[in-house]
Amino acid sequence: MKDRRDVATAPRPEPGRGGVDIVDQLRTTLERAGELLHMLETSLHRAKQPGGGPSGSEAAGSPEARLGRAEAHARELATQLVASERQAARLMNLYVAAHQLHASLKPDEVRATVGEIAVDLLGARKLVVLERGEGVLITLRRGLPAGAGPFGGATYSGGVADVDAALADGKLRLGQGSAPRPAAVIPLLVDGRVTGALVVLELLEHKGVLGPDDRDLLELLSHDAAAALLAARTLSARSGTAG
Amino acid sequence: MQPRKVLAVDDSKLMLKAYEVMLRPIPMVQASNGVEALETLARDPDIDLVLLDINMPLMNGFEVLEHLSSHGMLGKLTVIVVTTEGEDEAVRRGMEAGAAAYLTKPFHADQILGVISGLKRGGSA
Repeated sequence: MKDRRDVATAPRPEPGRGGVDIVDQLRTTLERAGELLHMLETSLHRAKQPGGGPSGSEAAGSPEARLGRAEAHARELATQLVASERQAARLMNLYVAAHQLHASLKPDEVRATVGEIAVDLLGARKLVVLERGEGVLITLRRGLPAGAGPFGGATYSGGVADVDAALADGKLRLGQGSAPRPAAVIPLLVDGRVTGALVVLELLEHKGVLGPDDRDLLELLSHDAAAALLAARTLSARSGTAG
Repeated sequence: MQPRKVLAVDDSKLMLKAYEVMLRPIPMVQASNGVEALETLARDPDIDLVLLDINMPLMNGFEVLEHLSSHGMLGKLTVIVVTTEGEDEAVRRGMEAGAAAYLTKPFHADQILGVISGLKRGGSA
């Protein structure tokens, strides 16, 4: 099957530390971006100085050669700066997703956040959240009506191959999003146990396909969303509230 | 442009948090629907940039834009439509209604910061 990729999702070493790790990564990336910016400014400043430029053996050569080296250095730093900014932007999305997933202990609010992450950060157009309970419950539905089809009722009783497989083996499945194959089936995993799945049935047209940039977000959904949902459901059951 | 104060309008709590993180340290106020947005604009004259979602309860983004336009408020406000609606018709409608820019979700911080920095105050790029 050429148009699909099955990817195992590795368990996290320290579940629940996702948000802290992301903040640490974000801080490091922003510090690195700051350093690169400073180096870039210094390099450009030196290149403009008549007596400036590299010291030692690099100082040798014509002014044109030194200027060429400085410009090449500046280009390399600019490229690294762009990459750092992109990394920081990606980490910001992960931080926001992790923060919001753990901002509430009400099951319906956590489910709403899962839906918002899927739509606003991943580019989902149609999705359902499945949670194991007494059977496989459909606990959130966005972009598709209740009623017909395998995801139209209160429970999912099987029949979509990718979903059935992901619920069985806990592996992420990415497809092309053309019915009946979902764009992504993201298993919800807690301690290696499959507690449900986020099924992205279609992506927004301008989103196209899920790419490498989405991989961390998919993993965050798989682990952090699952943990947040389980915690909220457990607390809700203990306190006797619905949802 | 360098905004004095931003009004972020979205019914998604996630998006409001995202704006808060992405645009820090620009001063920001938030609204979760079009009605709240107009109320906020009426009482806060420092707002000069609006990030406006389209699909919202009570009053959608197009209706907000039409209200701002009909009340002559788009001269001193810059509006960026930020939405999942990526169809040409939606983009055309947003721009014709007075938006200075149109950004489709999902996006990253560098993209929205790039759009903002490329805009002139109270107008287009």
